[in-house]
Amino acid sequence: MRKRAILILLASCFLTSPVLAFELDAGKKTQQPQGAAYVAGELLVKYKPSVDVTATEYYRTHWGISTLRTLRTIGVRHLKLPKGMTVKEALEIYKNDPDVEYAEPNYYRYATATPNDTEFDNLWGLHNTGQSVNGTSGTEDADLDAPEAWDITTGSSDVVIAVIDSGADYNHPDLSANIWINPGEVAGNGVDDDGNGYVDDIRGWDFVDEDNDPIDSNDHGSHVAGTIAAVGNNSTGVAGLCWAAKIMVLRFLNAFGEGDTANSIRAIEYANAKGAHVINNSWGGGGFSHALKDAIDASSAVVVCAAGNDGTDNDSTPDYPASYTSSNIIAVAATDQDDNLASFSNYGATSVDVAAPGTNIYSSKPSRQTVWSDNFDDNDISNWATGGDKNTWGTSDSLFFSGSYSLTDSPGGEYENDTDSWAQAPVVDLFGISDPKLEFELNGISESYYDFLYVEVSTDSLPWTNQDVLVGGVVFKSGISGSTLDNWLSATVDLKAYQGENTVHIRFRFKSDNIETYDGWYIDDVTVTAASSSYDGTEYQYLDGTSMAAPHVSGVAALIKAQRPSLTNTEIKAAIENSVDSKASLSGRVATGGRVNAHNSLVVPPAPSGLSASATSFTQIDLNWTDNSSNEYGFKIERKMGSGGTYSQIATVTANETSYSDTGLSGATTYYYRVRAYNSAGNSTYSGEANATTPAPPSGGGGGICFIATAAYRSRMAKEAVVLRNFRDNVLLQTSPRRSFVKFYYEIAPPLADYIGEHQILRTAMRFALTPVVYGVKYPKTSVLMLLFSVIAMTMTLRGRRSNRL
Amino acid sequence: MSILTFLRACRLAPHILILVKLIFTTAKKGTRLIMKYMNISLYLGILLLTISCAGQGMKPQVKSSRHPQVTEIQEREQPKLAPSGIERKDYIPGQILVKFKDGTDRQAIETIQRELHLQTIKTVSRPNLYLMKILDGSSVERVMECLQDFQEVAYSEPNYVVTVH
Repeated sequence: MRKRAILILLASCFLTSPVLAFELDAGKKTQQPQGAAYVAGELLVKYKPSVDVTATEYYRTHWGISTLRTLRTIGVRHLKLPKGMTVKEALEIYKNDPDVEYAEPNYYRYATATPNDTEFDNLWGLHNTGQSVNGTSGTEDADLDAPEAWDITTGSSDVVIAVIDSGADYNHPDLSANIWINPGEVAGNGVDDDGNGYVDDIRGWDFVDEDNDPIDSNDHGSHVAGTIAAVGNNSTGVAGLCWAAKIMVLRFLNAFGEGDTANSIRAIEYANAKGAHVINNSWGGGGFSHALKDAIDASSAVVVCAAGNDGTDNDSTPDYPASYTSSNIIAVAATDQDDNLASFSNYGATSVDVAAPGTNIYSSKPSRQTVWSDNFDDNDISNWATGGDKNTWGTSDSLFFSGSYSLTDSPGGEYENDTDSWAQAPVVDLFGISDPKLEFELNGISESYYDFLYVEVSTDSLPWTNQDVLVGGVVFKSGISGSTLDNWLSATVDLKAYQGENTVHIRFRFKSDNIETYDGWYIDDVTVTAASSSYDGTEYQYLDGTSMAAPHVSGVAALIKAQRPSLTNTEIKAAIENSVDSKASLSGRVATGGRVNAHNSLVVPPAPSGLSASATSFTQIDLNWTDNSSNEYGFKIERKMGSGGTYSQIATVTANETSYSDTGLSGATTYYYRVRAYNSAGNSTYSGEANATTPAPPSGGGGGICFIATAAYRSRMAKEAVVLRNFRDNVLLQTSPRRSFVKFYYEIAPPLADYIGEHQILRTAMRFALTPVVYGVKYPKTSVLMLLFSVIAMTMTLRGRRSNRL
Repeated sequence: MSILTFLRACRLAPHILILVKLIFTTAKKGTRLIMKYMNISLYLGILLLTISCAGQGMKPQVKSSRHPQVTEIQEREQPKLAPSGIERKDYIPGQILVKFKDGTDRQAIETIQRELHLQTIKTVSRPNLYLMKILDGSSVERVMECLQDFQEVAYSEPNYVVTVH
């Protein structure tokens, strides 16, 4: 939503319209991370050209308004107001100055700059205006607020994200610049230069084929990589969450998208050893693996895991690795364009952490070329060879995927019993080809378990070999039987084993047993494709899945790491989880009840400044600082004893507080302090350090009657406490017996004071009890007179009563 | 009345024929019966449904449909029916991940491997997490059970199959 969109600090380019806004409310701070409409404590003033630059001197000396910087090209001064002066007050002051052409608040600006990537409008997950994406329209602002986040950071090439997946098309024009290059490895020298056990692993590793070429032969990993870090603002295709980053490509899922635990562990350990900051895991399955969890626990990276696509509850049916309890895992569910949980997405009130966009996600895909294809629309298969027992292979117009014909084992209706026949495609030349695949569309039915369709491949020198066929997401290793339930399903055969061969023969073979016959199989759009190194701008596609949601979160984690390199994995996880946009639709579905918001997780408050510390007694130091933030939840105060001590947090105070009294200190000790602001995105950097030394306790061990009084009046500066303190110093501490009293008092008072300070009722009672004492001390003569008067009055009264009785 | 009954009987004839054929088939296939049990109940269910519809005067789907709603695609190797139409293998058969306790020496590992007929496929994680091949055809569960008897073994587990999400 534009309204919530943030809002960048006014830059000089926005200063051309002199809009005055004197009627605006004072720059009241809000705790919303979105921030106020303008920056509190700052002003932009343009003097008339004729005015001497020293005119600002008056404002500095009289009002304490200082110049932060001068925007010279347009002659505007960016001013810092003194503490306590509101923007409204400052505008009033300048309004009446004839030398001033205009003065205006330093407005936050709506993010107007979106990247120039041509397909950016399809990336609803990054910026949702309700636009129609792939035929579905959404809800405004059901997104990660990426443009707003990009006003803070667009990522850094120092941040490494390991994509443990099916590889990635590292030549893709939208990815190549953001692919990690192993700094410890010399390319192609056949030596394991960095000693990590992998030779020439320049951009990661292929754990499937055990080589150094993790090219993607499934599309999945390239899509994931693009969502994290497709090059942004390059006038090409899509933009990743990170415009700049380094993707470490670790391939362990094969062409069918399948892998095993052993290789996933090796990939995670590779990422750990090479210092990846974020690890994206858009995969899962199998049972609990102790070994895999150990590898994740040992990682210093943020480990982002997809929750799974079964539409089930991970709390009751775990999906690993998302369901491991490792402290560095962020388990991600998928949302749709309306911020609802995607229908297929797994969920889990405790085991799934956050949700992120996962439907109609547009991202990069490998470039493929067609080596050979036949769609049978010419109704001519004379270039095919058919044969075998009871061969009836031919074309049919009764069922087709495209055009009006398809290939079938039995064009005349049902197939026959005891068939073993085949249709063989023209020879395909796979020389000089990389990553070849056979793809076709399949529809039909045969007797389950007994009548099978096979895909077989051979070369002139190799025999016919049955191939694994991926149909509708399931791998069939020894033939296909059953029914597609009248649907056309996409089928894929990996021909990588045949790349480089000149004469590759492909055939469909159908075998039936001697009982039961059905309609048989229909095959259409048979195509042999291969990887291509040429790109025409169409190498993008839409995919759905929690696999697509996870990389959005990985991208956000990488942005946070780019912004604050010192954060640990669990701090980054906290920044993401604490900054979600709460959604009713996600309540009880994910632990945080919200969808990730990149911008919210980056709006760290600016650090407080001007920290001062002064000892106000030998037990107390008062701190004051300047609040520079408009979006803090509060401040965290840290203290250490002596310059060599270790800081630890002693207190937090609420937003807009700018002072703190540190009590219960030891005398004659130097304390160091530092303060930082915090909000959902995390902590600001620290203020400067300040220190103060408490005075030595007065001789005789005294120091202040003010323990109890301070507790009662809740401030050592309360006038009653001051009175008592002065009495102590000026009267009690003057003689030896009195000092003994003070000493005794200090032994018993502090714990008592603490107790009183914690209870409202006791404070009130103590204030009541102390009132006559305070008056007695403050006005000794009046008090004595009053006391005398009271005694006389009482005596008289008593005497009167007595006489009455008599 | 008798005409109507006759007509109904005519309508039922093809179904009865199919049913007879089915029973015949079932008998013939003998040992396949159990494996196909689920399918057959489905056939019967569909048939009975069709018959009852016919009995109510609705036009029965006499012509054998090109795509009877039988089952989804299945593999011969995995004849069990599952909701998705196929039971995926949860892990790679014949492989096992074995983690030995810290300080276990090579000799101890080799002794265990000999005893249980295991062979290292690769070192998954140093120092001592290995992916091993089960050479004697024992099930993964059986080998895991046996490995529990060795003090040197921290744990063992199947090499699970994972897929894209």
